[in-house]
Amino acid sequence: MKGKFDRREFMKSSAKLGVSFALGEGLARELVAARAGAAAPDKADVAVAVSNDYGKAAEKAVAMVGGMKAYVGKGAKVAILINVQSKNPGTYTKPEILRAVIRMCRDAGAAETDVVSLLGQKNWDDLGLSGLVREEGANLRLFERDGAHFRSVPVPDGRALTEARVLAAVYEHDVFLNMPVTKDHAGNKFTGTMKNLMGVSSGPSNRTFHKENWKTDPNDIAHLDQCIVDLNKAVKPTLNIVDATEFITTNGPFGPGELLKPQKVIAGRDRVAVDATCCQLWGLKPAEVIMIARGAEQGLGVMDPARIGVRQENA
Amino acid sequence: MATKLDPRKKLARRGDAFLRRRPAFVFCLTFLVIIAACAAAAPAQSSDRPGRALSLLPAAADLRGWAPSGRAEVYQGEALYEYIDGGAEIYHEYGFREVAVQDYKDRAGHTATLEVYLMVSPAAAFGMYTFKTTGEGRATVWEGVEGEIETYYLNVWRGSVLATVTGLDESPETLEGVIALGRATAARLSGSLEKPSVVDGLPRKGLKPGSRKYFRGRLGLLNVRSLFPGAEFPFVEGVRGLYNDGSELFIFATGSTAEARAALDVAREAARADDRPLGVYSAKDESFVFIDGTPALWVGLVERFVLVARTSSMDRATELKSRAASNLAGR
Repeated sequence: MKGKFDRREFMKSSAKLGVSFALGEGLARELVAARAGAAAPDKADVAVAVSNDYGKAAEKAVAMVGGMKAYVGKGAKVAILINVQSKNPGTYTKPEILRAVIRMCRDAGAAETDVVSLLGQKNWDDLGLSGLVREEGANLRLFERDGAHFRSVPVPDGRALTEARVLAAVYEHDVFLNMPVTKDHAGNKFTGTMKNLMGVSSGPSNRTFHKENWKTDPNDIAHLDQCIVDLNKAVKPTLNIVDATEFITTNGPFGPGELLKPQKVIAGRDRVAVDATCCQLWGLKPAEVIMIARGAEQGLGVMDPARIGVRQENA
Repeated sequence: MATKLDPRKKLARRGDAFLRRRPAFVFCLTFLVIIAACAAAAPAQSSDRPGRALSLLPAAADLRGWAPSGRAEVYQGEALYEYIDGGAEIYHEYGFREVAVQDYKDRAGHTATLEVYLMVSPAAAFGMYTFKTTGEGRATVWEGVEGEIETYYLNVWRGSVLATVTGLDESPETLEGVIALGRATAARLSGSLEKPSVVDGLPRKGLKPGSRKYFRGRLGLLNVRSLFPGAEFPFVEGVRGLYNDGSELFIFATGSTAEARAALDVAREAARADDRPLGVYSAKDESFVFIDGTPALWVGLVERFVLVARTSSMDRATELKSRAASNLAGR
């Protein structure tokens, strides 16, 4: 999965594309590939690990997609994005999963692991997560929602966005692990790997994802989902590890709502395929979730169940 | 030679003498100056300050063994986005004014969060209540409020207020605390339990209790069912009910019969544009049937209302329409 990368070649193509020199090597490679119009994938593999021990489920899911060493090299700098939007049950990434992933990164030889967030200290303290991050020797890095910490990044083949304002810290790492909790969302019915990336997009930029006349415009949700798809063209996580252990299926994203408890952790590189797998857990059809359908149409990944290889195992 | 008095000093002496002879005047003037200073220091509008929602939070004395933990937070207007990051629109669609949020703990450390939402009207609060309840929970039997208790949270509604209490775990002790908090909060609420009149349009026979969903915009409707996607289907307010036989009835209120006809046309065009249906059939009474499987969708008019019925037979759709029409007559 992690191949050699010639830095001279990267510099040549970066100069042509106007890509910043400061990009981390791994993420730069992904961005260049996306910009160069890499062909849409034919198929995708998704791993589903089941257990009531959520940390073990996370370890198993990552092992099923090659193990953390396939993504985190010795001395790598790792950025992790989880969801801590609310402390209501079923709305945030479980502490056990975060702890297991930080440990896996450390065991793989990561030099530094940073858990990044645009939310406030209170969100982290309320869930006991700031202490957990410290215990595991990682760093919790909190940022303001706009300003100097963000970088304007071109969106290749953007339909609603030509550029995205993304947290610069993401590009200052070699590896970016995207760890949402999947759940209902009152705005567009579903949230998973693609929507979670709004957590590294600036606040003012996120507000433009909603049209001013959202109350009456029937195309507002389509606009929101297209903006999310465009954002995903500019930022490509190294690996997605989704908390599908316990989550709300109503009154999302904040809750409280009806809880579903499949006790699953789902991992994969293809965000469309992972989201398509997640949404079916509570009966949604991937083709009816606009961001999944458009993500597939626009080459971000695979939505067709016949082309997604889902492997499920108990941890 | 006597020194000529500076005109400014002359004026000052006259002023002093005036004030010395009129103490009541001095008192009133001082009072007015103080009032003006306070008014200048206060926010321009009273709604800018934490208000009624905060006053509805129960104190420790109202609860057995539970007490407030930490400071209460208040969010007003657009600031709701700071609290519900990414999920505030639905509250604004219904009509949101302010929310007060307070954590409570018991001696064993069980935690629950109380949110007291002050909405713009009883209809707005009722709508949010139907949005947040599942209809599957246990009804509260507390006087003066409508409420529903789920596995780890509850919602109660009265007047313009919706209160939500959420336990942060599903232990019996936490649920006990959730119920105690809910009861104590319910006792502080006032206002009517009158529902929007469109809700009474739903035929009662066979209506599943708790299945009513009242909405005032697209988001509320989308969270019930995606009807006529992509179409600007106009309505002022609406309600949905589920029936024991599996039927589902929507009633959309518009401003007039003409507006209802225009909405019906929008719905018909949206159905025709959909590439899934087996057919769209129009009848003489301005209704139409949209068939993309079972159940079929029947859409028709009753005065200024558009009715949408998902049923397995046209006879059932006709029956629902007839009963609803009777309930809606003259509204």
